[in-house]
Amino acid sequence: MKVTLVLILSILATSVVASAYPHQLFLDLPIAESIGEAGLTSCRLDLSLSGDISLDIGRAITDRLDLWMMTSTSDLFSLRVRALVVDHLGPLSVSLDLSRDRFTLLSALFLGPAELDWGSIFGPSPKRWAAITASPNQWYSLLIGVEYETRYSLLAALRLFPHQGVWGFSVYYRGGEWRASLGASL
Amino acid sequence: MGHAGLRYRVPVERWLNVADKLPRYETKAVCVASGGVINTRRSIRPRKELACPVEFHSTGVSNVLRSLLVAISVMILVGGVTALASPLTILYTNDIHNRLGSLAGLGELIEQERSTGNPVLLFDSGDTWQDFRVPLYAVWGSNEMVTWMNSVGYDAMAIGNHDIYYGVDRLAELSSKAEFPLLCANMVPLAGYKAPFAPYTIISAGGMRVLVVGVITAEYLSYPDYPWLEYVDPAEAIQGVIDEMRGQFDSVIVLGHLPVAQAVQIACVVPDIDVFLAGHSHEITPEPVREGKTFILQAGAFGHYLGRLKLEIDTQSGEITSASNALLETKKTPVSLDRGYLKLFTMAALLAASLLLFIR
Repeated sequence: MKVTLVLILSILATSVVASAYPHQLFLDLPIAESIGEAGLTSCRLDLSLSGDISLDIGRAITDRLDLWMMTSTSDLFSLRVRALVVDHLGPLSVSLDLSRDRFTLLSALFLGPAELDWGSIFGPSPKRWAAITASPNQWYSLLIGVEYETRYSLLAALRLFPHQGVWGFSVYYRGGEWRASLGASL
Repeated sequence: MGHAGLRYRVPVERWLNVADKLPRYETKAVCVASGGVINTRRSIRPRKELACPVEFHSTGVSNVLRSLLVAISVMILVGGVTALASPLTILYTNDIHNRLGSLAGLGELIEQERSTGNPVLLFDSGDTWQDFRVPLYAVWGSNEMVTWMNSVGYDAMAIGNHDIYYGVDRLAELSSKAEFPLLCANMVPLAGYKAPFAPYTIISAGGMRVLVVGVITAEYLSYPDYPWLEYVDPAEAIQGVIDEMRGQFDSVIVLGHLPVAQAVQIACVVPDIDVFLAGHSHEITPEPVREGKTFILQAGAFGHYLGRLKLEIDTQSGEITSASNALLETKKTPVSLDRGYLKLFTMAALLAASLLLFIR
């Protein structure tokens, strides 16, 4: 039932939003950097081999504030607000991400072809993660990182941007399973 | 491939110290279009002299250069001055990477060249406003660089990959402060988006209309940070601009944030380029690298050198009598970096706080 509902919501959403912003690979582990200029709408569809589906739609309210709506087979609806506290102080960006039951502190060091992202979730289920993304050119990025909740687990991803950066495709490994996501922005 | 009639003379009058860290361009590159080796001259070995006049026994001066000659001749006749040759000087820098200590020396050399009264064009080929390898310059110095570039009168600058590492908003801010055009023809904004740079500009110098086009390397550019910019092959982009502007310019200068070898390949397929000022690879070209009629040059990095390409044009015969390139070594001067260190300290404190919360 939930899968059907999520699929219906996905079809409805993608009929409005033609593409999905590819920057944020893990929407529950967001990144600190700016989403873009005000009014940018983003969407991301995520699929796992086990059949989990999630859809996320974001809207940049200002260039420092964005709002995300998420629906998935595990959580039918959730809302998140992300505020960019430090925007590119040199390579450093820091953001706060607020949702119903938790807040997240996010940091990023953008070093050109390499980017370091790390964050901590404060709340009932605290979590930490860190990742490094290498982008040798426009066409692909490689990500490797770790996530810690009760134990460490590996994050790894290959992200492809076949034509331009407005849409991209990612294959990634997280929590012991392979997943895929498609994203773009309008 | 266009080398007939050229004779190279290595002068002995200039003896400059060469920074050993900077690689020399090895003049052997494969031309994809012709399928042959196009530059078979000897490799440029490290040596002391960095100035190299090139003499021409012209077998055919291009129409562009003839136009230049005619324009300059008319100016001279109108001015009632009798002269045999007219100069045009192109000064160039690349990959300064916020090295503020080099700016006074560069400024002095630029001023010296301007004081000759000859037409001077001043260009930069990118990677000027940022260097993530040095913490201070990763955080601070770009405003100071733009202010300095305004003060010495740059005519145009190409974007380098480092110049966009601060993000789109910051690039737009720096671009709006710059009193010269910021150029990039091969990152094309998608419909509905506006880039904080232009693909080309046209500059008048010595009575000549110079089309200046900027291009950037694909290396170390990450799409996710600029999702709305489509990367186009640099040769295609330059040819597109030339075709679009045909008839509205007399000569073409490309500011390419690309290595010399790639510039040679581009010049091979886009023969209309007169001068290609390269960057990105931190190479020095004491001798101008030639592909067809194109002069390809790069001035090392970090403001160690000001590149100077001098063209001498015979006003009576209509021929270029000589073209000489020199890399003028700059003096380093101490500069106050106090405000930079304050910003660096702020960033370090925020970074430390963020890491402490992370490892709590």
